[in-house]
Amino acid sequence: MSSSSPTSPIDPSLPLRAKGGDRQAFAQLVELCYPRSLRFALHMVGNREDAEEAVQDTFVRVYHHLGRFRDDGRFEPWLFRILANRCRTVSAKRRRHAEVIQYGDVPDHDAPTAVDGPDWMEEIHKVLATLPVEQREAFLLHHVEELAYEEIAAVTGVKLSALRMRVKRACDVLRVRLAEVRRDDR
Amino acid sequence: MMSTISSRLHAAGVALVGLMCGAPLVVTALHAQAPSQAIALAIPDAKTRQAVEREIARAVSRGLPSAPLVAKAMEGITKQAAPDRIRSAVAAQAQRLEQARGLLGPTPSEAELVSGAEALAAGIPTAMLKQVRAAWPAQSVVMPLDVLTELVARGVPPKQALERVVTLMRRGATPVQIAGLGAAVQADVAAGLAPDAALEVRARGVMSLLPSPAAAAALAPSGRRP
Amino acid sequence: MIDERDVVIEAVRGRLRASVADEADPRAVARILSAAFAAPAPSRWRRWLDAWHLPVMSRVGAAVVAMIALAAGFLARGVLPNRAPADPMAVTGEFPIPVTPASDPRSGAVATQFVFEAPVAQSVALVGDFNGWVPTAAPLVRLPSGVWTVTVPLMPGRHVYAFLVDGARLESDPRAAAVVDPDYGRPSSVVMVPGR
Repeated sequence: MSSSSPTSPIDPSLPLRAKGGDRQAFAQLVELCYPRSLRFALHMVGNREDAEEAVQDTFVRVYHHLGRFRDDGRFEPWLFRILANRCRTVSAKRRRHAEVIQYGDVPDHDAPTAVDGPDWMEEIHKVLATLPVEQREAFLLHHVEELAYEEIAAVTGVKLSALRMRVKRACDVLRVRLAEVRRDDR
Repeated sequence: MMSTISSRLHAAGVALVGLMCGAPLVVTALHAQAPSQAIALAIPDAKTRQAVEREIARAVSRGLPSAPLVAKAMEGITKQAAPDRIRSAVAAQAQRLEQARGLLGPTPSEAELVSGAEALAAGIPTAMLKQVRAAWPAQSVVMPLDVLTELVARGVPPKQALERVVTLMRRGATPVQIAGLGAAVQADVAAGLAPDAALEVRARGVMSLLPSPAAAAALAPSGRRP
Repeated sequence: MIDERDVVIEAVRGRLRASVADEADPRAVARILSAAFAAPAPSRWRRWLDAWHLPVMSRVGAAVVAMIALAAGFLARGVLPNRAPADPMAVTGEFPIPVTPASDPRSGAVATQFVFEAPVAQSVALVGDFNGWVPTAAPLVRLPSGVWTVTVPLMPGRHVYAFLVDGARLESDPRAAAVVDPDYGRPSSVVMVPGR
């Protein structure tokens, strides 16, 4: 069942145990992080198959590069750094092979029917898709995945001020475009 | 008929010596041919070709199906096996089919014969095939045999594999559930789990879905044959 | 501090957060674990290359590195849906929906997809016990990415197969469980089709 409750932080001992070779700990990490990872990837790349590919590649990389994970670091920003890059790679691949037939770009519809408009989710995705990838990434990481700006700066390598500007611009576009949709639906 | 095929193909046989060093062209040349002609074409050595054809004909005269033997020969051709190896593989498969027929009787289907032959080829003792048949006397045992073969291929000790599969059969597991067990153990072993441990875990999982032994006895199969 | 939160943004945020179930799909997790544990550890060269997968690079540099890493990772990648051994019946987004053959409820055959990565091959064929090992029975179709695919109807049970590349080279499926055939001593692959 979907919810919008805040995400619980990962037990810091899990990635450390996984780093030490504990496969069960890695399995738990995957279980805990998979929903958020899939959600981010889905909204970044726009279709489930690419999103699942990006997420799977990410966790395989995470597994093989656990040695790089700093013992005093937080796991989620590190994970999202890798995932964001995989999403960009998958999107670039899709743009190069635009002639490949897809199974459809309709994102996951597990969410309950919109109370604020019949195709609200579709509209959100349409607008998100028009955003430059940096803005979309920043918006999702901050407002949906609830990473702090400092953590996102670590993920994207972008300065804090530029980051805030990207999030603000994304919000401005979403606010304007989606407010029009809401007005039309009333 | 054989001499007609042989003489026609002898001329092509010289060119087909290229099979040994230039297989791509030869294998591609099989495009328009039926399997029996394909066998003839791809074995330039007349003696071996005839031996393979004789082997198949003998098996058919004993009431065995030809398709699995033709497939075994084709497998050898595709794998670029030496001609004599193809002949002995076909003979070995014929022998296993015949053994399986005796063990899975009285009237096993072709699919059961093939699954039985594969199980024997994987080293599963003959007595075990009898036990599988005894657990499901009137229902197709293709899936239990295939799963048994797969479990042993993954490294599960044959005795343990048989015990678990037969127990599930007697408890009323469906072929789909038994297949799921095989696929799950396959995946678990690939993920690093020890084969015997994987089987125990997965067998428990399937068992938990099945009715109690008393209920299973009441549901004992009678003439269900898919 | 810029306050971006307002009714619209809150609504968007809520919908996006609710768009995916909170609990992980156990099959997806199993696929990931299989892929992670089965994939070989990257070489020192690959680890060095991955270290450059940082967002601080220029767009051009990142694109080049991404393309190199994508090609390397794509070729080295192991299994998939339920993957791996992969669920051969899973269909992933890049591959076209096959028009034929469909699963046949009358015969019990199940449409099963096979995938093989061979960007430089000229032809790839699926050969196995289900098509008599005939090289022409199931040719794979090449996609622009260099991945080949075909979907064939398989009866429930265990099937042994391999890929014949360029009509000459027999290769096993890196996505599937391996087996050495007892008669010819060559490595092949195994798929279990559970049926319905």
